[in-house]
Amino acid sequence: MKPKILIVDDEEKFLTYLSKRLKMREYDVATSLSGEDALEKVRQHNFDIVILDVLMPGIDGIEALREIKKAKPFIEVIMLTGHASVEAGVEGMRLGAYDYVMKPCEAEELISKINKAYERKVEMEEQSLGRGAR
Amino acid sequence: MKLWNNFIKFKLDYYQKLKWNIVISIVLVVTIPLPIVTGTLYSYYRTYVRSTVISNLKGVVAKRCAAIELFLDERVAFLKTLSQTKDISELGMQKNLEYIFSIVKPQFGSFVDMGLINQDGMQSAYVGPYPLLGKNYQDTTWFQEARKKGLYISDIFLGYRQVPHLAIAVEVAKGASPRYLRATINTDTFQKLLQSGQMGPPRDAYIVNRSRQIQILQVYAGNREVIDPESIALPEHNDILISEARTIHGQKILTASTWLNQDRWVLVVAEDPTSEFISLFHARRVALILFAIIILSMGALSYYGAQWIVRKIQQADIEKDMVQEQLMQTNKLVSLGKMAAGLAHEINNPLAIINESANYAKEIMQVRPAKGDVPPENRQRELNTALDDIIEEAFKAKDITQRLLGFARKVEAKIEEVDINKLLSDLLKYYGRVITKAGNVRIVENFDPGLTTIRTDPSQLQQVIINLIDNAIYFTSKEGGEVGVVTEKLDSSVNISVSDNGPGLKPGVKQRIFDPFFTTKPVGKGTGLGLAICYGIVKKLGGDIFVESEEDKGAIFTVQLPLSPLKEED
Repeated sequence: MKPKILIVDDEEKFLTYLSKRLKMREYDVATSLSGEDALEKVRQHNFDIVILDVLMPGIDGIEALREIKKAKPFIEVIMLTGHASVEAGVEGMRLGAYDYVMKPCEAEELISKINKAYERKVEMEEQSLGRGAR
Repeated sequence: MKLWNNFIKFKLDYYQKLKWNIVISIVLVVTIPLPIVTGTLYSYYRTYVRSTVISNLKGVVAKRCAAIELFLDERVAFLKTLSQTKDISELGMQKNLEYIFSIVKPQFGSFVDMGLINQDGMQSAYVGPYPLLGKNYQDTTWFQEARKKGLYISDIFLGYRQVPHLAIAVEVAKGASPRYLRATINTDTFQKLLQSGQMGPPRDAYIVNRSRQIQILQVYAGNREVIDPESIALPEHNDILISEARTIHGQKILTASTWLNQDRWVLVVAEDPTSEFISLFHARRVALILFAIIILSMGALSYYGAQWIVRKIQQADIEKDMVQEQLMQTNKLVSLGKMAAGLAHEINNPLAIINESANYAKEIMQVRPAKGDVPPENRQRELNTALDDIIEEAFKAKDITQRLLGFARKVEAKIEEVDINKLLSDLLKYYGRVITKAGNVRIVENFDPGLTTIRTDPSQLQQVIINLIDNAIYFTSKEGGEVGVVTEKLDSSVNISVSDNGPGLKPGVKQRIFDPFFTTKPVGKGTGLGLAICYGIVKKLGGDIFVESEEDKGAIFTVQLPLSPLKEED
């Protein structure tokens, strides 16, 4: 079972190529060009993982992270940062993101982080369900 | 260079002026009280000297008066005694008189002659150097006075003998034919008496009668002027009067006078008009010399002191300028660093896209029987698109690096034609975007399309705008921050405004906002130099910078640059 992924970035081309590459690897990928749009999609669909750019006009990555975690606490978020915003990535992790990746990024690194994040998500959900069953 | 030389000249003039101001104020501070102090001391000293002179003068008068009175009293007493002890017949004989005179003469050298006059004024016996036997004195004043009072001391007169002398007449005995014993006294003795009781410098002495006729005078050597008798003031009985008299030529002299000889004569002692003030002249000269020495030494001291102070100030100014220069440089580098960070981030974007599309292209070519693979008929097209994007993004990156080089070149101060709108939009594109994204601040641009190019220094202007935007963002980083960058063309200037909707300026901040080291940011966040440097740069560019603000209503910083070309330093 492959995770459902939402990629959020204001650079359209980056978004296109990253999503195509993930699709090649048979991930279920959706894209969003802004924080606002991403929040909308997160609420409407069931994503497992959100890959979120830190620097965006409008609602920025950190703010979007907060909202996502508020709406769907089990969604795992991986932050995308430029060199100038490593600090923002770290800040994201403090706020509950699973990890951060620096742009430009190695596909293998990202994929490994996606898989690990998905494993954790499943684990957390099972724990939560188990508690519910008892 | 001319401008710089003028500046140096101005600075030197300023220091020269400062130096002389210090010298003049020190000299004034010292010299204004000095004459007051010396003047007061001099006046006290003068009073003291005068009182000393007066008391000396009084002493001399009293002594001489006593001496003369004693002398006269002795002579009178002697003559009275003589008249009591010898009877008239004995004295009346020429031979007897000669005998007595021969005894008296060596004892009382001052007697010139002696005679006996009968009641008709006839000299019946006479001893002396003049042929006066049988001389009739009936009509003379002394004879008439002696007949009335029994004793008479005459004024000094020339008489028959034409030699100044003084006559004393006493009544010899009361009887049928009263006779008078008359003796004359040499004025030489008086001269000596007038010198008696000398204290201090020699003083002129005069004896005048009631009608101010000079009887005897004792004038000392030198061409001293004789007193004008008319100017002599007559004292009270038994008193010594100090008064100012005149010489015959009108020179003022200090005199002391007292009555003599039963208030018939006045003894006048005149102070040497120069001697009284000799010590004062001396004191005055010493004071003047001291005064001159003090002024000169104060002048010299204050000159060197001021030179020292001014040199220290000059050094401090130079050091201050150097520190300011260093701070300017630091601020410039910080601005440049921020620009570089912004540009580096911008380069990162195309690189990330290139990275993705290149990897995608590579992956297309790998033939893997997988579900997600691109169908072979689409591969060529996908590949082309990816390569096109790579090329496009590579050009974008190149464009950015060229801009970076452009910025780097602009670090050197250079006046050139600058399109303000373009400079601002570039700046906001590469710098503004980064910081606004991070700080959740929106930047609103509103550029006047009618703005022409102006001659100014783009790198320094850029530094100013970066500082202003940094401040605006710092104070608006709360929710919904909005920073406005507006240009506007006026008649003779261009206005660049950077506004924010932050907390605005608190009262009292506005006046100090451009002062160096003034900051409202917390410790460690601001140096207080950003706006000071902006102010310095804008002034240097011939423009002006000002701020409008109200508390809680944000702030607008406006940089006004002249349209007319800035003069280049040659």
